[in-house]
Amino acid sequence: MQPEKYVSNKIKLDITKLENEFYRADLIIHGLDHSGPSYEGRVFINNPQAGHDTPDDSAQGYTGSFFVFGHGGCLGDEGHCEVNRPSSRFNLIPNPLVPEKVSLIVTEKLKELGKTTDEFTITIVPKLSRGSERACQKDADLKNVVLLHKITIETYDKD
Amino acid sequence: MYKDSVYLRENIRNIENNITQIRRLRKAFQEIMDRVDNQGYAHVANHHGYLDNLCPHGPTLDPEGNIIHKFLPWHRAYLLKLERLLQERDPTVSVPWWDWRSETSKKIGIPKSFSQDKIGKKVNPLSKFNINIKGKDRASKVDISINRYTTRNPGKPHEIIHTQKALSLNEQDIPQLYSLSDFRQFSERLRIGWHNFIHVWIGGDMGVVNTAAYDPIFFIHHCNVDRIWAVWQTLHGVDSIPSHMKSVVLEPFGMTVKDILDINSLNYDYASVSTT
Repeated sequence: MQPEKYVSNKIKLDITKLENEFYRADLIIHGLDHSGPSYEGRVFINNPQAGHDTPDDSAQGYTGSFFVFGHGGCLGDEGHCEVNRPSSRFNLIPNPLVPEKVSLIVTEKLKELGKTTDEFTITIVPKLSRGSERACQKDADLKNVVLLHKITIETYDKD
Repeated sequence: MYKDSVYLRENIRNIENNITQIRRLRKAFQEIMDRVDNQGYAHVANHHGYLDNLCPHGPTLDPEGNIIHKFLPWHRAYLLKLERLLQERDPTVSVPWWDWRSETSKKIGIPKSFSQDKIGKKVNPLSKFNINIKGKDRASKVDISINRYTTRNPGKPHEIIHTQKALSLNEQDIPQLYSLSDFRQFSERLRIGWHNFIHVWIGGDMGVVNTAAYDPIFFIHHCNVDRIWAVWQTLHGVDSIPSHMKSVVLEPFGMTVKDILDINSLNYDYASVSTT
C-alpha cells in the first residue's frame, strides 16, 4: 500500500512584480507532523499529477526531498498524542511530538516557473521507510502520513 | 587505541580490517546484550525510545522561552554511556563510526561487520538484538510488550549517491554544514538531512524513534553524527553553542551540555580529522 500524496492549494506569487530580484527562495513546510511512520517526502512544484512512479526529475517539477524520522504512531486512545493538550506543571520534559518546520531551497525552480505563472502548487509524494511498519503501532495510519499546517514560499533579496 | 591519554574512536572500515579488533567489539557487545540489569544494552536502548522516551530530536523551549537544541549534546552523552559499558567489558573497545558518505558505503551500504547475520552458528550481535521489553512507556503511560529481534530493510547503496546530491542542492551536505558558524543551523541541518535520511534508508526498527536504538547500527550511525559535530567544533570552537544551552541538563545522564562540549575532556578523540 502506497501512502497518499499531499497536494497544496495554489500559492499566489508573481515574481515579476517583486521589488528586487531575489537571490534565494525557500519552500517552508510549517507544522510537519512526525508522530507517525518515517518517510521521504519527494517535493514537486506545479505537477499535481506527480505520483509514486514519477521520477526525481527536474523536468517533472521535482525540487528536492525531506526526511521524517517518525515515532511510529500513537500508543494511546484517541487524542492521546494531541500535542496541544495541557501538560502537567510537574513534567518539564518537552513533548517529543511538537510538529517541525522543514525547508527546501527552490530558487532555480521558482525562477524558471515564475516566468510564465504566478500560481504554484506543491505536491509531496511520500515514500515510506521500508519495513518500519512492523515497528509502528498496529493501528498507525500508514496511508495519510503527510500532515502539515501550511506551506509558504519565502524569497530573499540582496538588501 | 590510545593517543596522548585519550582513546580513539575509529572508522568501522579500519576495524573490519583488524580481526582482533572486530572480535573484541563483537564480544563486548554480546556481553552487554546478555545482561538484563542496568549495565546492559537493553537498559541503554530504553533511554532513546521505549520505555524511557528521553531522546530530544527537534528544538524545544526552556522555561524562559529560549530555543534549545539538545539533539547533538544528548546523543553525545548517550554514546558515552554505551561506550563506558562496553569498556567495562573490554577497555580496548570504543564505538566506531560509520561514514555513510564514503565511496565504500555507496557501493555496499551497511558495513559488512554489521550486516552479516551470523558468525559461525551464532547470531552476530552487531546485526540485531532481541528486544524484550515489558512495562509502561514513560511518555505515553501505555503498557508496552515486545519480544522479537530487530529488523532492517535498507535501500539500495546507490540511493545514498542520489540523496547526497539532493541534500547538497539543499545546502545540507556535510562540507556545506562545516561552513555554517551558527550551531543551531548546523545542528538542525545535520539532523533533518543526513541523520534522518539514514534512519529512513535503513528502515525496519531504525525507521522508528521508539525502537531505533535497539538496533546496534544506531550507535555507529550516531558516532558519525558526533564525529561530524567534533570536526565542526575544531573549525568553529568547542564552546560554539548558545550560552543559555550550557546549563541544560541531559537526562538521564547526570550531565549538562557544558560537561560534554570538549571530547578530549571526556577522554576520547576521533582517529581522523578528515572533514568528509
